[in-house]
Amino acid sequence: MLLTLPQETVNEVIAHLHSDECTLQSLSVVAKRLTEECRRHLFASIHIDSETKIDRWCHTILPGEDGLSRYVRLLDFDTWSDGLWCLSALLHEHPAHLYSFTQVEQLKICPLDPRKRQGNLLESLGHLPSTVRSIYIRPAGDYLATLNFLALFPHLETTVVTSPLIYRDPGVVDVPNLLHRGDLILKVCRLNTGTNILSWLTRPTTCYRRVGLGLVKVDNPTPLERFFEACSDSLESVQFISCFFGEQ
Amino acid sequence: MTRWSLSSSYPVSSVSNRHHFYAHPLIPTFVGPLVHCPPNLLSSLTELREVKLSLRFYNDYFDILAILSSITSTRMNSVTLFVWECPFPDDLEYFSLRWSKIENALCRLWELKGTGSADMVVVDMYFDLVGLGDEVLRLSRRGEFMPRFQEGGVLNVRTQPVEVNRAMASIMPEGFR
Repeated sequence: MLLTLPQETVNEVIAHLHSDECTLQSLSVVAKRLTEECRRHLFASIHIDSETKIDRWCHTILPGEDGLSRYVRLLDFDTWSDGLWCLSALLHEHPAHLYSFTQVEQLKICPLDPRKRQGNLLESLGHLPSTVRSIYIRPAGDYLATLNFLALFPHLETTVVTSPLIYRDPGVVDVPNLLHRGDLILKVCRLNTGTNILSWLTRPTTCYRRVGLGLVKVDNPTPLERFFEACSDSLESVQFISCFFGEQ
Repeated sequence: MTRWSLSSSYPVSSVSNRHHFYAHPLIPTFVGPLVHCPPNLLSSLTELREVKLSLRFYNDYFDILAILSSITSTRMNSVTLFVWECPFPDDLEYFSLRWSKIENALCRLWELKGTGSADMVVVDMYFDLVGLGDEVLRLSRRGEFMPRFQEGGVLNVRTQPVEVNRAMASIMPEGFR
């Protein structure tokens, strides 16, 4: 029945199944005309958080522009554990694989610490900057280095910065490369790092078209009040805000 | 967690001297942290257009009221309220009274925009209880829920309950949720 429908209709049906991995896997082997569309959803995002995952990907997926890597739209590096190693491995041991991600539009790196070994790695992200439109980072290192990292991506439409862990006062920062960078969303969890986000609410925000502030798990109004008092001079560019109290 | 006030003029916040919310005799009052959001919390956000707030009815009522009331932006287009623990409207008078302060704060947003503004303030409201959204939707269509706001704004009552993590993630671009 499905195979008798026009391709556009088939694609619509498959799109409705985008989160049903088992069905997509089954459908992908029913007929060649279903395979392509199913793969588009099955490999739309990959989450890399360990050396094992890197190895598994590199040893089972063939690199190249026609490989499965071309379906990946969201590349999610969770670098908390041995994540630095993940990026290192991908870039130095399997460079062909990185260059196979030809359609990545969204890049997530948490945490991002350009001071450490990531620095060299991130500078050699290859062609990713030309396709990436949205980026999600949790900065954990040098503020200026983080800004320079963002400057690698000329086509950013959305930048999400979540609970930054920036220890130094950046002072006066010249960020000419960050002009007209689309939307900036600052997400602060529990306001425990609220003061650090002040760095992001000062000069760079003037470069963004819209700024959004997401405050989640706010314990009580007191830190919220302090936060807004401290940021009051830099809030003019904020156009949208969300606030969720408590643990829920 | 909930205290029922017996006095019609019992000040909910006895610590903070900045706010004096007086409770209805039958309205449960808030006994969480006795410090509430300041009345000028969002006053410096002059370009604000969109607000999403979670409203745990018994815990956050006065904070959400303070947040909405502190908005000074004349460009507000959208308010989304994720409502938890809201009592069922068995007693319509009590229910309407409980929402009237929120309604007033929302009315203020379209009043701030001025009568000449082409854009209306759209309020999207989600409830955690199955059936509550249906009931509130029915009341709003009959003009018994936030009638004054609907004179100048658009009220969308969503009948499908939303899960809290999905609500919190809704500020993110779709791929990052």
